[in-house]
Amino acid sequence: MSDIVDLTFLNSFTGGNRDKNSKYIKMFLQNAPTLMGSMEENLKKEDWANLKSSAHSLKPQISYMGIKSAEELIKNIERDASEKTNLENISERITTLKNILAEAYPELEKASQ
Amino acid sequence: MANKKTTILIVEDDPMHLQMLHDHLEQMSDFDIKDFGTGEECIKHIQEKNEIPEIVFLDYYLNSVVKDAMDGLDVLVELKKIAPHTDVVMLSGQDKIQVAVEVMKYGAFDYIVKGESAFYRAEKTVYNIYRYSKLRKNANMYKKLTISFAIAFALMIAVFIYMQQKGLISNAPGWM
Repeated sequence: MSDIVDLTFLNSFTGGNRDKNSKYIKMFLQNAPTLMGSMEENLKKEDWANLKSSAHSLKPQISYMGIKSAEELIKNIERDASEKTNLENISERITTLKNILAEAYPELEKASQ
Repeated sequence: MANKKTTILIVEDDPMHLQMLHDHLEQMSDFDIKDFGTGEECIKHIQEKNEIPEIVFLDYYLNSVVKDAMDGLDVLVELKKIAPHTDVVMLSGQDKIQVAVEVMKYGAFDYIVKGESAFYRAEKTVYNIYRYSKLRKNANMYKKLTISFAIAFALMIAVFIYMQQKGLISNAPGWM
């Protein structure tokens, strides 16, 4: 297992049930790209309220999938969009988040099989 | 007669969190669990089916899919109007004390921050609701019992006074 995904919580939550793990991972793989796309779209439109809303939805899902390196990042994006602060850095943060998730997806896909 | 199942409604616009909470509660006991993506759907269900749930798990932000959906606080206020005895547990991704205080002020039973510990907290909260519900029932029973005794005692006094006034009983004890 690499450093990107840590499925300790998910395994504990499902009692190590592979079918349940797979179900939740597949849900994440379906939801996360949509929410990420929505964040990028709202960034372009400078729609901070909706950007915050998408980040807010993605935040716990990232935590459940154990993508530790993205946890602080998504919290900061949500907070900055909500408070309209550090907006000059938000685009870079979203790109970093997208890259982390892009690395996590194949690992999760493998884990869901 | 079979015991009625405890009805739990989950109002959550995040499909993954909804499914995880549903599965976790289902594993706990044989609850009747129903899921809703918005507060409007949940309120409509309660009104149309006239089915008052024991517990509602309600997300604080409900507009990630339906942008003009009612927020959790407004749904909480509505729920407390139509189902005042339903215990509402608010869920949120925000770990802010102001939000927790606000929702408790509007009658929420508890406030749970979404995250890895949320499911364990949800389980504990359901147990706490059962415990308080039992205490409430006992308190109501004792209250009714006390009122019944008070009424019976008042009636006895009234009958005694009436009989005394009518001369059916004397003031002096019978052995004097």
